[in-house]
Amino acid sequence: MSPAPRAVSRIVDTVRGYVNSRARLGLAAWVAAAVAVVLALAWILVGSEGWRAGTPLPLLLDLLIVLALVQAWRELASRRERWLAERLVSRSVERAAGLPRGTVLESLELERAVPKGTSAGLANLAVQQTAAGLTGSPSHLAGQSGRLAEGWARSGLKALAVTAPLTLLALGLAPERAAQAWAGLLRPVQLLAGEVLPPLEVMPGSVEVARGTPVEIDVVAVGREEVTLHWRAVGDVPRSRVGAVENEQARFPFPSVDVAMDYWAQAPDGAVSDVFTLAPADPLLVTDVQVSLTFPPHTGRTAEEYRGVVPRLAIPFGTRLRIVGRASRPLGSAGLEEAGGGTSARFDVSGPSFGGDWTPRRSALYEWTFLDARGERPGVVPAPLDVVLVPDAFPSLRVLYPARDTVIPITRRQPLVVDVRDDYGLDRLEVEAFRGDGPERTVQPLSLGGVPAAIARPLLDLSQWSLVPGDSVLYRVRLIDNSPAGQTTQSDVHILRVPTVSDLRRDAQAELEDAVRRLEELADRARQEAEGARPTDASNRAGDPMEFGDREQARTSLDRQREMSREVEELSAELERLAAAMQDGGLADQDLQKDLQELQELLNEMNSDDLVQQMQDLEESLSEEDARRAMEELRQMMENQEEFRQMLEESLERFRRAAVEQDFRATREEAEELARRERALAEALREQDNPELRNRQQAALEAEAETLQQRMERLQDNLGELGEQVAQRSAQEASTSTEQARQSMREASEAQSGEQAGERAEQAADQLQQAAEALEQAQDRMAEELTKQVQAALQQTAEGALALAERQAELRDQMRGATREEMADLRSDQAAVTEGARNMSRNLEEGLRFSPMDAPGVSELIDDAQAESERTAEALGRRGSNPSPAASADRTVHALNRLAMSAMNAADQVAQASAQQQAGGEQSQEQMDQLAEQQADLMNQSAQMMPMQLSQQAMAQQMQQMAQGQQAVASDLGEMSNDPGGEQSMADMEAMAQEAQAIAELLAGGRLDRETLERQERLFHRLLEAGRSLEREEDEESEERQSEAPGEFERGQISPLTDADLGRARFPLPSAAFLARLTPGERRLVLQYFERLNRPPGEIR
Amino acid sequence: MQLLTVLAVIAVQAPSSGSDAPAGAEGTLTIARLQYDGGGDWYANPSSLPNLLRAVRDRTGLPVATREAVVKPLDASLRNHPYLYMTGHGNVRFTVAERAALRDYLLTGGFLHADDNYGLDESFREEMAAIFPDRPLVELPPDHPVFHGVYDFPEGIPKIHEHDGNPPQAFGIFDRGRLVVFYSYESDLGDGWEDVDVHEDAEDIREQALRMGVNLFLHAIGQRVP
Repeated sequence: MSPAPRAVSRIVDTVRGYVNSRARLGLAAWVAAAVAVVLALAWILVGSEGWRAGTPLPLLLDLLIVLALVQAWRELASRRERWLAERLVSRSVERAAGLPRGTVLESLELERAVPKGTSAGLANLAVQQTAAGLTGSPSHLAGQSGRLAEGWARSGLKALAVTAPLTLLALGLAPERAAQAWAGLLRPVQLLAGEVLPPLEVMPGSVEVARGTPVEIDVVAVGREEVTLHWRAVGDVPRSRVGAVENEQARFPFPSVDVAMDYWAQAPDGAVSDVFTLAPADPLLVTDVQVSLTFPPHTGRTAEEYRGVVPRLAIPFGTRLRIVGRASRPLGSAGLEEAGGGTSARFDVSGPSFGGDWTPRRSALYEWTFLDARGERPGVVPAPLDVVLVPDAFPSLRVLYPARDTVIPITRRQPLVVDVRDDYGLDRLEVEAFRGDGPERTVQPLSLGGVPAAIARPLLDLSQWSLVPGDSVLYRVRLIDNSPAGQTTQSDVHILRVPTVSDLRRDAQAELEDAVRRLEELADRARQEAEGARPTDASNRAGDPMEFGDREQARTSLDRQREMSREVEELSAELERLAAAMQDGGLADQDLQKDLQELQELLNEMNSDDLVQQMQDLEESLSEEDARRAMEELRQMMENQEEFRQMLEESLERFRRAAVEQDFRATREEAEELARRERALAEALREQDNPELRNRQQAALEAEAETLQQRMERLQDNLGELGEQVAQRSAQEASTSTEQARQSMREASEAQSGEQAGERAEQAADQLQQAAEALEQAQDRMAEELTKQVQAALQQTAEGALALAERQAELRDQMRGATREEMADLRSDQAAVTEGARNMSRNLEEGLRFSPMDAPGVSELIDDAQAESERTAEALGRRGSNPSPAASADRTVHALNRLAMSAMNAADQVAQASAQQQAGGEQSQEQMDQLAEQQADLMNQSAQMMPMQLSQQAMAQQMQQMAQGQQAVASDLGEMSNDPGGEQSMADMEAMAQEAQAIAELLAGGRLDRETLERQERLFHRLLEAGRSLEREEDEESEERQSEAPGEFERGQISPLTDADLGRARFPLPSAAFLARLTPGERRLVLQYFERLNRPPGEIR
Repeated sequence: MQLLTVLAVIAVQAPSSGSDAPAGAEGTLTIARLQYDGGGDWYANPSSLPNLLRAVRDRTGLPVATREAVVKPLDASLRNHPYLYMTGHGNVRFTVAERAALRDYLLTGGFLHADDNYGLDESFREEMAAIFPDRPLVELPPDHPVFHGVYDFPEGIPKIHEHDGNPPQAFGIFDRGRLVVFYSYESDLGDGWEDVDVHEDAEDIREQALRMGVNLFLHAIGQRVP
């Protein structure tokens, strides 16, 4: 039989073909995946530099691909053998078609050969039936084999799907690298066998170059023909350039390096250099220099700061500078050096910053020194620092008061006024008082609180020191500033003298003579002023407008008069001060005090209220441009000026006389004191103790006698100028006696024996006493003459008034019933009476010119009489006058009679003036003053005796005299203390009397020492004070006031003061130092701003 | 041990000479009595100011004048005197110009002590309100420096004479921290400065008044003008 058609075979072949295709697909996918993996590995392993020559990696990777191919082929073969087996395929087909097992296989066998005994038709039918049952696609009929093949193909595709993107990713990320890597795979053997060339060298490498400078990069590429330079500048894309290698080196110039850039070289063989950086560098610059100044605390200056430009610094020693700044590059060192070499300062450096503290020690120009980390200097440095060190000045002081050697007040407290200054501040002032080399020395500090200037008024209190007249205390003022060194300045040493009575007397005389001189100058000026005013007086008539020149002249006259008035006032005040100073100094001279008081009153009268008012009115009229009024005021002022001038002249005479009288008193008392001491010395000379000392003492007394004689001669001249010839002769006698006394003193010094010396000294003392008595007599005579002069003037006035009264009475009688013509005839007679009254006034003024006394009542009565006489004369010239001429004449007679009585009374009073006693407290006050004066004399005597160091015997007589004098004081005080009328004010009298008695007993016992002297001085002070107390009890006009002593009260709570209460600004202004730095415009804006800020709420301006 | 007592007053305004001088003399320091209109007795207590000046001189060493000056508000010499004093029993009246002059004087360094002698209060307060509408009179607490200068007054201003049975009070007007007006009320310091025989006050009363006066004077002279 023929075989059956191959239907089943065809189907099975189709299925087998499908499975085979799947297997081959799987193989391809797996091979592709393996290749992709190898390519990716190659991309990874190649690195960025490419395959190096000699590397085996590409070969290995190629082998890996081959292995993968081989393995894949083997795997395929293995799988195909299994998957394509007929039995497996048939079975898969049967299962897929749902045919019974073995159907397909048997069909295949039938197709190949029909077995013997089998019908071919049946076989064919069976095959066709089997073929008919194999419906479906090959993939369906493949069944398990198909699935296995499909699975393998799918897994291969999956692997490819995973690896292929990786490879593509590598390609996309770095195509060049991928190309290098894969290119190497294509020539693995070449790479393996390639030559290993030296690495590339690149110069200059990583460097900093100055910005903008050209740079050449050299690449040493041995064995290469070309090399590629790659670079990437900041802000730019990566670039590259290929350069030819000549002489194994390629050069790449860059014209200007402005930004940093990274660069590297690469050779075709894959060699790549390191990456270097080319960085542009700026020149070394120093910026942000800041200088802060901290001043020494004692200067009180606030810290200052300068940025950038630092001006010339004038700073005190010890100022600390804090300096900071920055540079454009890291620094190596920073500092300051004195120009020209010298001191320097080093600052700390940290990177580009520098800073440090420095206290300059010298004034100099300091230059900045900077070095960067490479030791380069900056191109530009800040301006040098100009430092001027201002040394702390020594403080300055000026003693304003008393500013000279002077006499200490009797209170022993001397006020000082000291002007102290310093450039920064003062720490303290010290007043040092000492007495030569004595133990008494005190220093009193006074804190000044750091102020730069002040007027200090320390009070030097020496009340606890044992000082007696004649002692001297030295003092100086020391000033210490607040600098750390405590710089000190010292004043000169001044002397405070405890005055003796003689000193005080002469001081008083000198003051009076100075007052005389000033009054003389004032009188000259008044005379000149009076003369100069005359043309104005003539050229200005009432009603005419005042010319400019006249107005100016009036103003000048006014100013000059004011000046003169002021000088008179100052003179008066100085006399008052002199009186107080004399009293304070212990000079209880009543006559002097009286003189000073009277002179003061005289000066006060010169500046009369009328004159003052006139000056005021003239000032007003000149300022108001009231010409008419101004002229009138000027005229009146000139009249007052004339009176002023006359009073000035009179005062001058009085002052001269007062000065001479003081000279008289001082000279007389000096003569007496000298006589006392000479007498005491005579006793000592007789005893012949310590001849050398006694000779020295005698010589000193002789020198004093010479001075005294000179004063007497000067007194003679002054008395001559005053016209006091009698007194002048007495002064001459006194001078002669003094000359004789000097001669005796010289003989005493030269005497051979003590007894002789003593006699001569005694004689000298007697002569000096005679001189003193002569002066006293002269002074008494002067006073007597003056009294007589006044008396005579008053008596003359009285007589003149009586005579005029008689004459007026006659005229009055004639006027009664007289006709008009007769009345007219009587007018000349009446005029004579008036003239007589005027003459009386002038004569009286003349007579009282030098007298301290005045007779205001008499002068007024003369004026009254004169006025009545004038009215009588007017009445005579008027018809029908009322009162009638006779009645007016009658009043004139009465006025003249009153005048005569008053003048006579005044004359009597003058005669009794020396014995005049006033009632009550004034008597006590005068007694107290006299006792004080006596005590002062005793004190003076003791002070003079003590230094003479006389023996007890020599001192005995002196002591007895002093004891008697002291006893007299004690007795007087005792009597006053028993006065029943003054019990309250005399409360201390008894105590003082007892003290005086005790001192008298000490003196009688021969004890004269410092303690005795101090007790005498203390008693003197008490007597002075008691006298002042009585003076205050004198009657004085005062309004009776009702005043009550305060009762109980309770104070309320008082709130503390707020800023608003104190008127303080809510927003304080910036400091003056700050404002000073602003421009004027800025300052104004700032001040306006703060003014607006501090306005009270709601205030609108 | 000897003790030195040093009393120092540091003043801003320095007199040109260290010696006493009469009132009004150029370059001297004194108190100026204010003469005013209105009928009040501006001249009351005539011995008070000389005594006060003497106390200042003796206790502080300041070379002040022996007598006071007298000035009116419109006098050109007003500005020569840093210390003004006014008192009285009656009416005080200033013109518009006088008020302006006083205000200007006080705000540029001057000082006024007004002392009610009994009867001055009402008119004085009115005038102050007119001169300083922007600055009321404020009562000074006891801790104010004027009460603690040379002498201490821990309770404030002392009472010298009785007026209406009220406690003594001290009022002030300030300008930028500086006391420009001091008004003593129900105290009567001026009476306390008078001569001993005028009111026959006890010594301690008089002493209190003088001490307060010295304090006032030094405080006024020593203040810095802002």
